[in-house]
Amino acid sequence: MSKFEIDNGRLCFRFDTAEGLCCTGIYQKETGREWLTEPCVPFIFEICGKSYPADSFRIRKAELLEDKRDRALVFELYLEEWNINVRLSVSVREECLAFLIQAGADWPGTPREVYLQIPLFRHFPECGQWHLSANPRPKPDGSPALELHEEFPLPVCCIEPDTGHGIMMELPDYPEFTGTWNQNRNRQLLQITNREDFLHHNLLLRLQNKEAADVAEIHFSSVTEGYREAFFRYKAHIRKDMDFSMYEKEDLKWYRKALYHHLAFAYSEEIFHYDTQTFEVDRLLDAGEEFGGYDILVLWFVYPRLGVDARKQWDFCDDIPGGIEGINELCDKAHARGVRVMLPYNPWDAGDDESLTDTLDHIAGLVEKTRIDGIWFDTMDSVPKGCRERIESIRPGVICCLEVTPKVRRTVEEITGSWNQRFRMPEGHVLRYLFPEHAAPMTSRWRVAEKKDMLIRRAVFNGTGFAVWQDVFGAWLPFDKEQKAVLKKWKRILLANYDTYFGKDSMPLYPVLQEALYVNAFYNDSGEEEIYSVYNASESDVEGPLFRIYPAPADDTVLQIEELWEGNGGFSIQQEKIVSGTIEPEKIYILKIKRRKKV
Amino acid sequence: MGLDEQVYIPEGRYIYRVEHRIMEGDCEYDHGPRMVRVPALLADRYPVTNERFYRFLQESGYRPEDTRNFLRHWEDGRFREEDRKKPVVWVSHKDAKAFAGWYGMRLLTDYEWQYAAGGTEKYRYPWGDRYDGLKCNDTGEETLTPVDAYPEGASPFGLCDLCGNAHEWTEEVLDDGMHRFVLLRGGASYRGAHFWHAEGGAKPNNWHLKFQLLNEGMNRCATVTFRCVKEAAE
Repeated sequence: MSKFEIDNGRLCFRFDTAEGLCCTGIYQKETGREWLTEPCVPFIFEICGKSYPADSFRIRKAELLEDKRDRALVFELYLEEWNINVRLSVSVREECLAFLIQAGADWPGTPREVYLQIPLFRHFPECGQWHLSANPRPKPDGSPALELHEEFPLPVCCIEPDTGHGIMMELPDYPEFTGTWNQNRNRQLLQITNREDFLHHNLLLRLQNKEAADVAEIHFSSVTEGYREAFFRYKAHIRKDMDFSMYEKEDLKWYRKALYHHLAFAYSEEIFHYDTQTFEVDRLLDAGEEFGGYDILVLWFVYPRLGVDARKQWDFCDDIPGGIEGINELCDKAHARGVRVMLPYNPWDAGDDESLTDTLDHIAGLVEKTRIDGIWFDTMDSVPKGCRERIESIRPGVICCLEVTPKVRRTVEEITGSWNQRFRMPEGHVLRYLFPEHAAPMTSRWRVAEKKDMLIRRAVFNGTGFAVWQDVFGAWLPFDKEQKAVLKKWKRILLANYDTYFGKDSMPLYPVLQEALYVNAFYNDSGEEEIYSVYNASESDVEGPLFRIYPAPADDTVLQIEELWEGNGGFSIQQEKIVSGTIEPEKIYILKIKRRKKV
Repeated sequence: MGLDEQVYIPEGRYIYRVEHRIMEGDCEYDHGPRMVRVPALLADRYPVTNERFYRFLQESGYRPEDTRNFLRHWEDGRFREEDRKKPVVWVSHKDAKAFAGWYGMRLLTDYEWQYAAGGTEKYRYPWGDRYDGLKCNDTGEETLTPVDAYPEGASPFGLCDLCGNAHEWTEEVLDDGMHRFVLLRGGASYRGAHFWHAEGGAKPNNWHLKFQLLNEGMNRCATVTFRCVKEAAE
């Protein structure tokens, strides 16, 4: 017997061993489509400049294994010249086929460099559009149109745009160990940003072990409804084993609707009155009304003053106007207007002699002595171990906000908000779409003029809150009147459509029908409403069909479309549920679509 | 030689230029190069000591309105004996100006300070062009030394303790429209551990530190002192 196959009901891998191991098909059962245009070897090794395709390996074993729960097709191969063992297996998982290459070498002499290629990708149909993990869709300059996250690598997909049929490949990875010390080389594939490099990859293996160890693992699954299906499946996989209970805590929920933050530099006349030596909270909040109103103030009195003498940030809490009581008065005034207050924690100010216990004691002491609503963790992408629990034990409802996007999964679970400090368009951060419950207002302290406009557009396009930061530690970089008005308008729209923008399903880089367009989609959990933010990255108008609506509405449903940002009534939904209209260059349009039962 | 004596600085002109780390927060000031004129001055040879400041309080009855951190290192209204000759610290810019005003003096301006420290030779450090850790208090610690501890660190005009030990307030309160700040001179012995901390350590003559003012409790520091000056008849 030389022919082998394994499937999960949607996708089927086929092999032939008659003349060495060869992959003869990747068959998509639901569409009847063969994704391998011609048979090819499943891998090639390269050692000392010489190629060793899989069919040059001796097949020691080929068998279909099965137990009560799992099924796996396993090939054990041997390369005599270098004493290399390779095991290639394809296992059935819930939604995918796990293609795993393991290798080990009992080197004659010293170990050699070994490179691995997986040629299957090169034999996918030409009509397939590649969405790479590190560049799911490029901007006109070729760079990714989405900010990505190592901990949550997007799948690689090859999808035919016209039909939405394709193959999705998820690559398990251990991003905390991205260097050569990680035996699994998936990371190399995940980091490739252009198609040609991906198709002609050459992965340097670390092959010093005799036993076959994991070197590449790809979870193949079938896609029939385009990149949207792939993104949501990937998102479900990401979220499946995570704990979101922190986001559901009643006493922390206020934070999710606190959309506009403000960093108040204590030494600035924006809040401080030099003659009366007081913080004028009401004046600051009145000024904030022009932006649509601040929901959270971060009172910043630490950097760049820390370090003139040996006083620590905790000492400053006593020394700023009014000391601790002054902070509490400020909190009371803010609270009276429905605004919360955060104070900063600066980890870099801890001396060599400050232990974790000391740090937690200080933070806890601050929460205990004041009526603040949160701690803003300067420069940090996580909080000190035990900090959140300690805060919670003192006063539930006090939030932790990170200055930097969380780096690891555990932090996303534990800390419910952070600031996104990038300004470019059209990219937002993939975390905004994976974890819409994580509060991440946008800000970019140094941007001025049109870059501030871009930053605002970025918030609008990605459906996020905003952190107004005008005084950058002593440099006054205000927003102009028009920018304030735009932010005010945006807050009103964001709040009015909160449940849609922050529903569980939202996706970036929604499939479009014209090259220059970028679309993000936000779905109301009720299924009755969705918003598409549309951006034209080109320098000329885009006219006609823009994108197709998914899921297709039922026969008894009518679709109503309304444009919320420009007040443009020129959009329509045509046959095959295609949204059409005219998109001016570098403008954003917010298209709200309601699904209503026919009366 | 008393610690409150003054030295004569003849009138002079020099090309003013200041270089320092400017991170977030900027330093809204013309750092040169530009020609400046320094009038003839009678300047304190040493920073004002605790003993001298104590005498000022006795003579003037000065008591700041906001006493937060005022002379925080003193005990029972008086300096500790071991601090007698050390530069007075935990005094705000207002406190320093009050002291100077009582004696008909003022603080050195930023550019006067640089001239007083570098002399007509425009030395990089008060004693010459090369850093010498034996000529100033530059331990990295907040611990201060008596103002006359480093006679070899004197400037060409004979001013002492300019570099390291404690920063010195200069005369002007600068206002950029949104913030008020004072420039500190000379650096201090203390050095914060992290690059996010304000720069510390003994600094060259062509350096200053932007000190953003807030309330008096924040404006008084363990590392900031001052010295006085008055314009001299030619």
